[in-house]
Amino acid sequence: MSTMEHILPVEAQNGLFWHRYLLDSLLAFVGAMLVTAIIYFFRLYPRIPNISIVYLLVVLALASTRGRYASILASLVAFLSFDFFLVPPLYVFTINRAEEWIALFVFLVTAILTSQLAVELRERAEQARRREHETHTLYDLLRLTNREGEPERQLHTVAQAIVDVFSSWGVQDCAILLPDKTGNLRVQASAYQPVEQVVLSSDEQTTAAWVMAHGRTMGLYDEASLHVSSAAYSGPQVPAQRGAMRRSLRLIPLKLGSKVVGVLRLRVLDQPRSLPYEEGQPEEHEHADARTAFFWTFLDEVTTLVERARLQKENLRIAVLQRIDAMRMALLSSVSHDLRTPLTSIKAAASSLLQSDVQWDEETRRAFAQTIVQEADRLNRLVSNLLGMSRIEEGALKPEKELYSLKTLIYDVLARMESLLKGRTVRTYLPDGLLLVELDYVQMDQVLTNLIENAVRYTPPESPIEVSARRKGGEVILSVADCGPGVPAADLERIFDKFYRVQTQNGQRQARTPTGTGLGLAVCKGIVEAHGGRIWAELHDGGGLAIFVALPIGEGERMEQ
Amino acid sequence: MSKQGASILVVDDEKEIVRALQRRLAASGYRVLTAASGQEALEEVHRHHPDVLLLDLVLPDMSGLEVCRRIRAESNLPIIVLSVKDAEYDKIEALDLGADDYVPKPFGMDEVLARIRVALRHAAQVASGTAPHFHAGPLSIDFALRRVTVDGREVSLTPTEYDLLKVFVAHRGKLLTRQMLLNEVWGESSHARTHSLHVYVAQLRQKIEPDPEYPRFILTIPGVGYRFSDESES
Repeated sequence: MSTMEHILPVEAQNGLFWHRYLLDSLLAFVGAMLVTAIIYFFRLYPRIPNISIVYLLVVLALASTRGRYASILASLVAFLSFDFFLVPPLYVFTINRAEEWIALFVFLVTAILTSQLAVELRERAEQARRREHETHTLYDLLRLTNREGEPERQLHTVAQAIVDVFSSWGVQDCAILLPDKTGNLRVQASAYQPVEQVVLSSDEQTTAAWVMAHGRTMGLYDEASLHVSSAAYSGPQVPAQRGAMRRSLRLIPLKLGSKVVGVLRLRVLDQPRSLPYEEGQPEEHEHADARTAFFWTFLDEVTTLVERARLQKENLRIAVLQRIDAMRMALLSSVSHDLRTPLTSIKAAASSLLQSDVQWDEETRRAFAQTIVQEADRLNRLVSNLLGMSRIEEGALKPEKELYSLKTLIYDVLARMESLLKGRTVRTYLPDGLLLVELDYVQMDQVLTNLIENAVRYTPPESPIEVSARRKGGEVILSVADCGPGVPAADLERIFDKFYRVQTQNGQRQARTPTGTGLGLAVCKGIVEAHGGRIWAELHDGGGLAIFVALPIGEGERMEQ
Repeated sequence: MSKQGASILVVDDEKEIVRALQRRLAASGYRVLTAASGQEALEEVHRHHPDVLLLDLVLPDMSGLEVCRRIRAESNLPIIVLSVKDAEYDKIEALDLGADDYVPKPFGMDEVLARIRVALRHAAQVASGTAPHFHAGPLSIDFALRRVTVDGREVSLTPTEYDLLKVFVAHRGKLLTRQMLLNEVWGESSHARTHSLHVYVAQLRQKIEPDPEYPRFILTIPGVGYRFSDESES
């Protein structure tokens, strides 16, 4: 925020009105009288008949610096004082000679006309300068907002810009209220306070809702809950107590066409000629028109930006929803398939056992029962992986690391998976010693179980599996390698993606359609990374797939003799 | 041999699970009582004084932990907790609250029966006290001489390893949480030493297990703790 560039503010209103008029009158009077005095003392008049031209200098100077009022006043003062002090008969406002009458009258007309022209010229120049300034301000607003990527930051920038630009008009703070999903107005951005700290009183909330619904500006006194009735604000005039310095809240609708997209909450230090109230009342203070117009133009721009930020947010939300939806579809299809497979086996085995017309021999009965137990275990593993995945996604997976012997873990898992590994050769390559590593036993158990289950599932029934572990630097590298068909080299990284399954291709794999959820390796990756470790896959020379897990040893290094 | 005719109270609100357990336990000669809520379970305990309680931690009216606490407040009734594998903290809390054992759901019947046998035997042993000698397969311990031998060869244990083994043997068959072991071996206020516990267990295994890779005495119960196998149970 401190790094934020600030937008050029609009100029302060030029002091108070009467102040300005007084100064103008003084200058006009003094200027004209000074010339009269010079002509009088040097007795220039009758000698130089058209000396009155000198007054034009003063008039022009005033016209181009102070404006219409000063120049016309100076013209009149010059006219009268010339007549009074210089044209005989002196010290009276009468003129005897016709040519002097004409000269004086022509002088007056010339003075007024030239001053008009000069004033107009000056006003045009000023207008052009202001336009440029305003364009620049609007451009700055756009530029600053565009620089912010996130919608929240954009809104914040807009709020700050409003305060920066209109602070000279009494705007002290600005908040942007936008409707949330339920239609309640919520503070979405604030110029100087964190959004959470801006608390709306219930009065403000109802007023804001009214503003939102009716598209009309409303004011509230800041310090008290004194609620100014809405009727007072339907007209263009500023509320009672003109001139009093009073803080009030202004709730201004942000309109896009006829639609109100949000409400701007301005904390304003009320001044007689501060912020305009309502747009589109052309008869109101004409001279302030240009400024007012700028205010509304600025607000229009703000509205567009706010709407753009909202749409951007909406787009983001939709993108997230779409991603979640795709994920859910993938999960559903893979889970329903993978739940059904073991369920089918269980049901087939159990219903076979139930059949009364067949007499199964003891061996077959055992085989059926074995199938039921094995498939139930498989379902259980599937559920564990689903749970693991959801914990990983929620970020709720916190390994409770303790120092364990990795060898114990490996042998434990192998012993537990004995029935799945039946008929397989499992070779272990483990170093001497305990191989102490800091790990969460239950989670790493799941990793190893998934790796071994994958190796069993995707390789021919008789092919061997190798489990090895070794220390390397501050890590222990664990690997599970199979001698199956492997995966295409291009898939080596993607196999750790959720729901990713190597597509069935020709050859050996066709007979065995993949039955995994595509969750196993994704869960492994989540757990290993939560342990501060790495997981990767390699194809080894025999063509099989090897998955490597590197875990930081932690304190194990110190403990192991 | 299992104690025939012992009564077992099964507390679970899943009818199918209760029915399956009831059938299997009855087939083994146990008398089976059932309860579907915590309140019912407490009433059954008061009325029929079962010998073993099989307790699910998720009950409709109160938590199984609460049931555990209330029963422990008044009796030594052996409690075996049935719990879904992933609710780790609950089952550890139940064990620390005084439950004797735990069987993860989904369970195999053989596992449940084994745990019930251990619980019944343990209840019978409480009165008899610790024998001065312990023998299990190749392992024998003479507590008076602090002598541990495997296959007749003396094994030298560090004092901590010996204490650990002694705790295991004293509670053989019973599931010991990490916290229990730490308290027994190192005394209270030792929770920071969980790290070394697993290391000592691993070292002890190297010394007393005939095949340290596939331990037969000290078994790991993932996420919970350890159990010293009660060999005579099989």
